[in-house]
Amino acid sequence: MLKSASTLARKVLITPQAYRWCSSSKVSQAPPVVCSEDEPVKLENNPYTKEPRKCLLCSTGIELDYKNARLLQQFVSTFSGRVYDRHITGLCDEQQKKLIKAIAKSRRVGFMPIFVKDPKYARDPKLFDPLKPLRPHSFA
Amino acid sequence: MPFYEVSVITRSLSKSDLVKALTRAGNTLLDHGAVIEKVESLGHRDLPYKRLAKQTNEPVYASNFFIFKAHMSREARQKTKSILTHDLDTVQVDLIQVDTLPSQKIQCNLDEILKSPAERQAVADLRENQKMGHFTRQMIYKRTEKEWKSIPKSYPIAPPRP
Repeated sequence: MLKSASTLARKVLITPQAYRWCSSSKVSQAPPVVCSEDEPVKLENNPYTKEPRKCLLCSTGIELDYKNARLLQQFVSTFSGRVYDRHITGLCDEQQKKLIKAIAKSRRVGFMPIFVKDPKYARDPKLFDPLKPLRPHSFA
Repeated sequence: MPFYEVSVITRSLSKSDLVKALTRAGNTLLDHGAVIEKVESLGHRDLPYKRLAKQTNEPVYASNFFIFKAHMSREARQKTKSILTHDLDTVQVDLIQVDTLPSQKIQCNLDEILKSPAERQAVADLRENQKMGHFTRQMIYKRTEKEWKSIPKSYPIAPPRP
């Protein structure tokens, strides 16, 4: 080990051009980097990023209408007849606002019961589970 | 002229009476300067709750639903609404304004909502320009006050004279 090191030192002393030292002066003298096809490709954005999650109405593109009382009543509680909050329905802010407006209109026009959910629609498919909210309640 | 949808729920009527009631409703709209685009029937349906017909007080459980799509002025809306609601053949009438402009595309922010509060932009904005209560402001002042009061104004032992 020691011997090999000493021989290497001797060689360097004898022929300094054969060995390249990693010094700053040497790096600055090196020719500028030439772009070639073998160089790693830099992407602008990460191709593995997930698509942002969308709420039920935004992803399906369903428009809320006050005349469609059956759809509106899917967002109404079977127990209390009140509209579920957005942490349960899983709608974005805009859609929740629209939902509340549409339900208010529908009730005013008389297409929808006011205090209860229509028992005809009580067995409609569930869009969400009120016992497993998406987020904790905002007031909690 | 704003665009309205006039929903008319009649009491249970025979076919000829229904035609009369509808033509009366349409004529009142036209008399007040409305432009009717379309008349639609939503069918014979169950009402969401029991209603009572005017004057006869007979219960209405199911009846015919109609919609007039019409353009009219705001004054005409008020007048026609009072006329149609006081009509003996109607159970419920309402005029609802509908936006004719194409709705703006909704930016879904569910992804933002599901983030933890530390990563949410709304919370960051709140922190940025925070409103401080009087109590909090006082506490911060007292803490800083303690710091500058702890610096002695004069030395306990006078420094040596030059």
